[in-house]
Amino acid sequence: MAHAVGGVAMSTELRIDDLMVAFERTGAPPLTVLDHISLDVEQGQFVALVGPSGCGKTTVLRCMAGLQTPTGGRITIGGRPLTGVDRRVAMVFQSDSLFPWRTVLANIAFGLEVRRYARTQITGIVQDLVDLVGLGGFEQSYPHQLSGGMRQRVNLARALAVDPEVLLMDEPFSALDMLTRESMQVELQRIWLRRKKTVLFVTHQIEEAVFLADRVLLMSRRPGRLRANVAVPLRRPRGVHDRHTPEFHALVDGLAEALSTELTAQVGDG
Amino acid sequence: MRAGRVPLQWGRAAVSGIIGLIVWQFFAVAVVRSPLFLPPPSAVLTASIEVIRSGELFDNLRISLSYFAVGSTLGFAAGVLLGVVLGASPRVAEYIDPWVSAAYTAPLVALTPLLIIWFGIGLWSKTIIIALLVVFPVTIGTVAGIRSTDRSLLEVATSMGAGRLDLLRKVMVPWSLSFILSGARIGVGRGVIGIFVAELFGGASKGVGLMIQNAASVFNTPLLFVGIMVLAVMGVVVTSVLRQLERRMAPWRTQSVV
Repeated sequence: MAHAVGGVAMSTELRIDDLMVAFERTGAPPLTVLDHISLDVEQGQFVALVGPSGCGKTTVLRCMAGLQTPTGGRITIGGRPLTGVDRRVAMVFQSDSLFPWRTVLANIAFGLEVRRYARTQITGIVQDLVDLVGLGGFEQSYPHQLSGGMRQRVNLARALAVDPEVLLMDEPFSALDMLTRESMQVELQRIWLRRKKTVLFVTHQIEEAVFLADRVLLMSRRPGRLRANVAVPLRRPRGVHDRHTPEFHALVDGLAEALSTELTAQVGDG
Repeated sequence: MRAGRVPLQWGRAAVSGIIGLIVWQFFAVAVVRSPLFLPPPSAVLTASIEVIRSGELFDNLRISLSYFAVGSTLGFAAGVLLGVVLGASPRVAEYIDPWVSAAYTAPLVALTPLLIIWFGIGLWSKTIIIALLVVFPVTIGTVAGIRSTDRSLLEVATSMGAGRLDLLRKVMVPWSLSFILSGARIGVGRGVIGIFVAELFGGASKGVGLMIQNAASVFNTPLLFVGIMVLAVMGVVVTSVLRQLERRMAPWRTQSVV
């Protein structure tokens, strides 16, 4: 199915069909974590995946990053299947996933090193990214010398360095305090508008999803299923003031309501 | 802040040392009153000045240091290598682990006479005994480091396309650095004991261990103390060099946010 966002038809970049993940257990039926997840993301689109903790939203990303083998289903990027670790995707992990023995520069260079880029090439790419994510002056610092927000800038730069077609983000700001988190959201938007990657962003925060995304997908509790697919028509670039508009609140409230219905329904079941 | 803390630490160590020497002197002179049983520090000092002047100490030290350096370097390298192999391949480790634990706890110094039969009374048997004493703590440290590598860092690397060798070289080994160096510190302590034991059986013509034995055989207790203290100082120096190295190479372990 082709989505039309803002009246412009776009090509489907990332497509997930019937993705299933179940974990085998001894003495119990397999634990279904993802139950027939299907979704499409258009090229250059920013999609947020929201759901309660334990709903398997991170598992979706892990399947795409090659860290989890799906039990069933199919993932394609630009029509070509994605199986295992793939150069076309890169992931921004939760906090504290930087290499503590590497400087900012060396952390950003990591993916390029393992992909055997030439030294001179790496230097150029890395310096561009340092400038893009605003880490000038901290090139030789180590992660333990940086604040949480800066560490996540490095994390983002490290993923962007390998120039992926799809950028996966796994609750990258969840460990930050609220003020840092909000300013990092603005920063991420600025960087995304410059690089225009296709992004799949996992979060449990509805405000964060609405602020950042073109489209928000809501996942149910385990077994994870997609429950809602909401377009966010707010104009870009979005700023701090946009968080206080009635449109923003309406979207957040609508999703929050859907999420809470989801939660109470599940409690009733179980 | 850090600049102020270090001298304070040294100051306290110095105070402790001086008090220890005073107590020792008092005990030796006023309570034991026999330099044969317990020489006072002053007598040890006199004896050490004597052996330094005559060049005897340095002749002995040079020999002991040479095979100690070669032996512990060999042991260290072999330990890291073995540790990396065992840490990276759990199946191999299941076969080898019991041997490593056994070799680590066994009193390997007791093998010295056998090693002398195998390798002669020269420096090779001594080098090998030192290497044997150093290798297993380093192995155990390396294995512990590699097995404790942060899972999320391995996943980051894997998702970027790192192969097994990259994971090892670029993630597991750097992660394990401080574990490896702690293993080395323990190894060095054992190696210093090895110097004495190797020379005890070794029939060597020179060495600090031999100097201690000769002193003991003629009841030259002050010289015996000189020898022991030389070995102790050696151990302390090498250990603190390793600790400095760890601080330089793995600053995130010891230093919090600046």
